[in-house]
Amino acid sequence: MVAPSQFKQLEKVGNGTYATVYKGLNKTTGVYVALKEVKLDSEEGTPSTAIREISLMKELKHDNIVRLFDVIHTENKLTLVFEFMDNDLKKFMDNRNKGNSHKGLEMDLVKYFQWQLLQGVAFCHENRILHRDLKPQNLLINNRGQLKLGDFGLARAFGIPVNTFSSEVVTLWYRAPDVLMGSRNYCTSIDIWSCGCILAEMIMGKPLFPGSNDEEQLKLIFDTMGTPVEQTWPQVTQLAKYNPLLPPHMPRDLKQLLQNNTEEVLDDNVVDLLHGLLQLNPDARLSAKDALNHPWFAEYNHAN
Amino acid sequence: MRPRTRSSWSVSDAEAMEKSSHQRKRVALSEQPLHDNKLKSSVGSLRNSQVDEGKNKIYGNSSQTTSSVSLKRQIYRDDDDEEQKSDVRSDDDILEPRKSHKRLKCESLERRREELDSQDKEDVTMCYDYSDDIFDHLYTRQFETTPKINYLKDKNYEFYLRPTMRSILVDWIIEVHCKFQLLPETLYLSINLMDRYLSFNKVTLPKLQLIAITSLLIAAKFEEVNLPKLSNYSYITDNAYSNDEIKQAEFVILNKLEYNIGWPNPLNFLRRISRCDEYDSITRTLGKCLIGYMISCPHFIDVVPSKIASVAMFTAQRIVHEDFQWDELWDYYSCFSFKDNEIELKELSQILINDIAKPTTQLNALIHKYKKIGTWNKIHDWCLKHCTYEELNPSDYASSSPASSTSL
Repeated sequence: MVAPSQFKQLEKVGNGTYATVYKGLNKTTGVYVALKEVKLDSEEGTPSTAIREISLMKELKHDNIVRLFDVIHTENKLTLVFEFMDNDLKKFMDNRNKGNSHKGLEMDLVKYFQWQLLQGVAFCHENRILHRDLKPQNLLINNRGQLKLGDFGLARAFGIPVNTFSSEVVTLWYRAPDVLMGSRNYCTSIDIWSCGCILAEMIMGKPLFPGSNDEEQLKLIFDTMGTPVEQTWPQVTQLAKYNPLLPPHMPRDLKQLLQNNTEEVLDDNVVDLLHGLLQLNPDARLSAKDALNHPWFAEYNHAN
Repeated sequence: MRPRTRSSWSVSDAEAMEKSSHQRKRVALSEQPLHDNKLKSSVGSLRNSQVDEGKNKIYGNSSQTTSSVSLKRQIYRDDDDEEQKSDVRSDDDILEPRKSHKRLKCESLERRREELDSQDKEDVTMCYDYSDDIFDHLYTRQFETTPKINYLKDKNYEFYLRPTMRSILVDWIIEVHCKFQLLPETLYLSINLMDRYLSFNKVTLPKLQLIAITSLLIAAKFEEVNLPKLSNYSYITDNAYSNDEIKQAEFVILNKLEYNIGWPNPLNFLRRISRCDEYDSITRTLGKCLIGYMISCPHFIDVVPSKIASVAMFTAQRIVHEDFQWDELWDYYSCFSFKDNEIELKELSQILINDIAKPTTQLNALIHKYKKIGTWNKIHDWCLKHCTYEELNPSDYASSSPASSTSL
């Protein structure tokens, strides 16, 4: 525990799911930090999101996960002291889009970010933690090109066997189809779908499935990835919100779709990886560990 | 995904009607005052510091407890709980010596492990891709989140608490946990949080129950999908503690524990050990009951969850298989080397058996729960036959406990 006076509060840098984030300066060390302030005036005491975020992040010490330095608990406020990151992936991509033109990132950078994203996710999963809100806004980057997972407000620990959880998780555009259809039996695959959406978004410079509600979100997903049937996804028809009236679509050519939205030349490996991450059937989705061993990452794997 | 076995439960029609979603049930819980006077009044006995352990009436309301337990089974897709009911229908089966694991001898350990592991690939809830990594992590983590000392043991210890006091608290938490229809993981986590706090903090008698209820509140916030309202926790103590007092206690406990809430649940380790006999549901059900007993009774507070699960499974196997042998396969899945720790495992198991045969403290709500699922009498009968408490001095169980050598 440190004294609140140790930090000088600077400008506001964002609003989290349940908190306000400021840039701060550690007056003793001269190091910049991010101060996440959680109000404690609730009838329910300390928010469960804060209890989980702090407890879980204290367990997660990894280069690709934002470090929680300290927690300052004052009378009606809880301040989480995080390592400061210059930017997030969303702002980083927005800054490169001039006007209405969408421009994805260079493939080398896409690969480096995706590699780091999957490293962070694999570490969470090895430590029995689901992030459940992966999206560009929650991927923080610094000027050295490091990418780190942040905002564990929706994260939770799971046991083995895995219990059922809430299906009200993950920001809509990055939410897996099984969860959209009401599945509560998800596990690590929930984060992998988001990783797939993020990979496509980095390539295209715009979100892959920008739906405005649950139905439209599923429609966008099935338009591109094909409408699931029992043969391609056993037991899909048993899901709570499965709609038997969905128009049947064949999967579209993902490579063509991406190529239409980028000036970079796509190699087959990245498309293959994306297919692995964006499997409709959660059981068929790659794990983060498997994804890191994908041939697209050969140069990193050989280097190690 | 594992198939449900709901058809085999013997739930009454009335209970079947209650198959409403968990969500709806929880809303109802939040909106309606809770009607359990016995539960509430039990609190008073503790608060008034006139604790008469022989007469505590915490566990009075059997019918309510039962229905919430059955409802719980319907709500959660917890295979384990479902199996409990369906597989333990015939109590006599439990004591029948069953096939031993002789075939292991003619197969290499490696091959057997591969065979067993591959069975988990089909079951997504077993998280096959990560289970080895996860158990490595849980194994390490348990040493950071299990009390380092059994605060019930040494009267001269600064934060000593009488074992009967803790049993009253634990038994009451079990009752409230049933009432609130929470997950089994939440119950064990709440007892762990309470023990961690009590093992290095002085708590006055009137505040003990506040620590207990707040531990349950924090555990629920960490584990549960749908949370009972804070005011319900206050209500269940017969408003002995106000909402503000509970919030204040939450603040204190969280800070004292430095927000290290995540604790490896022994149920996870039990499930893993259970792989050795291909998830035999009878031994696993007994193992679960024994875990519940170990966590609730006073002897094992400073024993890490992987060891709790090993002792529970070892004992469960002995109840079911007369000729049970703990071999290398069991070593592997339990993270417990029998060769190196045989004496400790047997001693801990014997302490458990002795305590069940002749309890050092009363755990009536727990025993009531196990009687309902039909496991208690068989466990109890078996323990009576195998106990050695004559050789021990039951009033001074602590001196015979090897737990001092097993402290972390």
